[in-house]
Amino acid sequence: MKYFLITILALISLNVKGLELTLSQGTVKPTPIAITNLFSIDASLDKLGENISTVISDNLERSGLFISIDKKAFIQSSQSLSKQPRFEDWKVLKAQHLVAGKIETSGNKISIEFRLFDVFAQKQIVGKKYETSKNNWRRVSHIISDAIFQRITGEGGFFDTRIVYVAETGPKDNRQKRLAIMDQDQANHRFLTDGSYLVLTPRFSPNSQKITYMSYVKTNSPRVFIFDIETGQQEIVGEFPGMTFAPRFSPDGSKIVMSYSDPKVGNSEIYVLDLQTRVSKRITDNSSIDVSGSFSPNGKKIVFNSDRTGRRHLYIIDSNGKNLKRISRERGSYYTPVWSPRGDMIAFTKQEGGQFYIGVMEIDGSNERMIAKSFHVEGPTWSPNGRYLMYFKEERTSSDGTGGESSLYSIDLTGYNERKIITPLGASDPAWSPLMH
Amino acid sequence: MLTLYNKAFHYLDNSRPSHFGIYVSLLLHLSLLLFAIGLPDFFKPKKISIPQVIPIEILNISDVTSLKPKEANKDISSKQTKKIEQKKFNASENTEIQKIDLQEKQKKKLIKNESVIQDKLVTKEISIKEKKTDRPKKENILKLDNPEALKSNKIKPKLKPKPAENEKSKTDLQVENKPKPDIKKIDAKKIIDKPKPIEKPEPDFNLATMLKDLRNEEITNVAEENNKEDDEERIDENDNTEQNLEVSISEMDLVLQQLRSCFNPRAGTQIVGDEMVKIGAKIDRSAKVRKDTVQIIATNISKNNPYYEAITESAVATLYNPLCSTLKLPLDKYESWKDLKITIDYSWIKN
Repeated sequence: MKYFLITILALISLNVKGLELTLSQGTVKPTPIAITNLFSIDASLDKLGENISTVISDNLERSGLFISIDKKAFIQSSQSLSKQPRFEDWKVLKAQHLVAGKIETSGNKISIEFRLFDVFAQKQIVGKKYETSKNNWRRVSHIISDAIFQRITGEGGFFDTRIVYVAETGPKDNRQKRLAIMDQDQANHRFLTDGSYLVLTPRFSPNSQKITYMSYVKTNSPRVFIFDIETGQQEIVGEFPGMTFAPRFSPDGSKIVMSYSDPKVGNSEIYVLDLQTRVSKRITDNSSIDVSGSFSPNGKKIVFNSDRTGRRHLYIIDSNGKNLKRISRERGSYYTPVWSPRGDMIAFTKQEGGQFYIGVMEIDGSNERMIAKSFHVEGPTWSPNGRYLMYFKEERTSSDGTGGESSLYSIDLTGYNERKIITPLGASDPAWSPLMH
Repeated sequence: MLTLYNKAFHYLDNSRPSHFGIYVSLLLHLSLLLFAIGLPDFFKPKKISIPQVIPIEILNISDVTSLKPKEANKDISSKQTKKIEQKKFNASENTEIQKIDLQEKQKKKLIKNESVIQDKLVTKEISIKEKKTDRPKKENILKLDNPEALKSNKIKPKLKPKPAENEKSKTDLQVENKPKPDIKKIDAKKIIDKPKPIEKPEPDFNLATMLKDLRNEEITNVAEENNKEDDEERIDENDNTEQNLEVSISEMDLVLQQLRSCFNPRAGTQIVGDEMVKIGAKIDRSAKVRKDTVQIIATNISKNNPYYEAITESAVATLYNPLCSTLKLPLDKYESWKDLKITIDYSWIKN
């Protein structure tokens, strides 16, 4: 019986004729997507439907992975789309995906429904509905953008996020630095501090509700603070001997990794502070300067930079202080390492030959690549999906004292699609929040 | 010659010195002319005037005739009528020269004599009445060296349309339903006299058939109609033969090149290993992807992979891409590509 079946299968396989091809090359280019205005029976919601559509479209285009098709070219109206899309009309426009939806009022709230269609396959691939207050439409637009981005690319979104940074004004020798926060698309900008004291290196907590930063408030030496965005309250993390530097939350938000120079030790070391017990634990023990600690996504390892070999290099150590390993091997000095949320890469600032670079390398130090370069670039921070980096770039100061402005930039991990982030003032030290939904 | 020489000198001696300048001028002009034109070549071979080439048909005469006995002729006569109707006016068959194979030696001799016999062969008819099973005697074959010797009463010039009075000599074999004069004018007796033992003779190249003759055109039309039937038969044959045809490497390259432009892996998809997706589709005869036939046959990507949908959907979308709605496949090899399978390798994105 067994042999009989094998024979039958063999005969069938012999009888199946056809052409077999292997395709090992394609074209990677932004995906053309048609985003229609959200349809509403209520004419007063038309503008809102258009605004939501515009925010989604801008978000996706800014990612560099999508091209929005001009709305003027659309053949099918939003109204008829709310019933059934005519895919042939969208194929003509070379749209691979189509976004349609509608808005309705329900009491004091609005319900926003959207559908994502695969035009080639002629089917709906996502359909969701949100209820929110009318004022919250922008955030819903970001959430929809994330849903579309994730469904099409398979990668997590990054649109429903915020950026905290240091806003700078005034001459270089007397610069006022304030904490500022905004949505990733630069909307809803506001200042968190009044500029009466210096702030440095703000970092988000994993739930995006708190910010830890370094400040000189109430003291002449810098201290690590935690700022609650909702309440506006801030507190000193703890009293430590000497200066404290570069705080950063652990992935679970229960700890902070930072460095401070204990006079007994005589140099700066990496410490992990438990936020509940307020007890710090020393991680490194070396006569050199160890700073800029950053946790791995699983919280088990910490990357930091140290000058223990004479030059600043990047090192990885277990969060219990064991298994120290140098990962950077090239020439130059490495600073501000940040572990990617994906866990596969480390971004850093590098100084070599009078130039600053923003670079990335794998966690074993291999495949080092420089993706941005300038007179002064520094402070990389990862988008929550680990695909984009934001950093600040400072212009050279001219002989008459002008210039020296700093601005925020974002760039794709591939090194392409560098974009300037528009801020009302000069900007430095950005930090990208995790997703807020 | 010598007297002419002496006369010339005598003339020069007695000529007036005042005419000397004229002589010098003449001499110079002559020498210039000679320089420009050159001396005539009196010893070059005379021009051979090549007579106008008249095409001939080279005949292979076998030692055994292929004629069948008269009884057989009657059976097949009706079929042959139709076939003969299709023949062009200048076709070799109409010259009524039958093909007979000769031995190699005799062939050579025939070829040597081509130039001699060419005119006569075209106009003369050789008819071999009955099938002879015995080999012809050597002496007889040698006689063929000069085909003129094979005269017979039936040797006639090329067929020409005959006037209407020939209708009296109609036989049952003539096709009355088709009142085309050229067809009717073919002498039925000759058709009977020259049965075709082989139904489909080898197509010999005959220059005569290429010469334009307006009289052929009507016959040609009839022939074309009949050829259509043959063509249909040929298509059926092709259907059987195309099963054996395989898509060549260059044809594969062409379709792969097209597919490359349609394969747009989703920007942002993270490839970490050797992810691949094998898709299959049914293709119709016009090389269009049949609707709803594209499917994933195999993949090494786990469904837990967050990029599973993005990768597999982009693979399927390759064949749904409007740029690939009609594939650049050789239409005559339908059987070899009607079931298309594409293994899409994503590892190149990693690099």
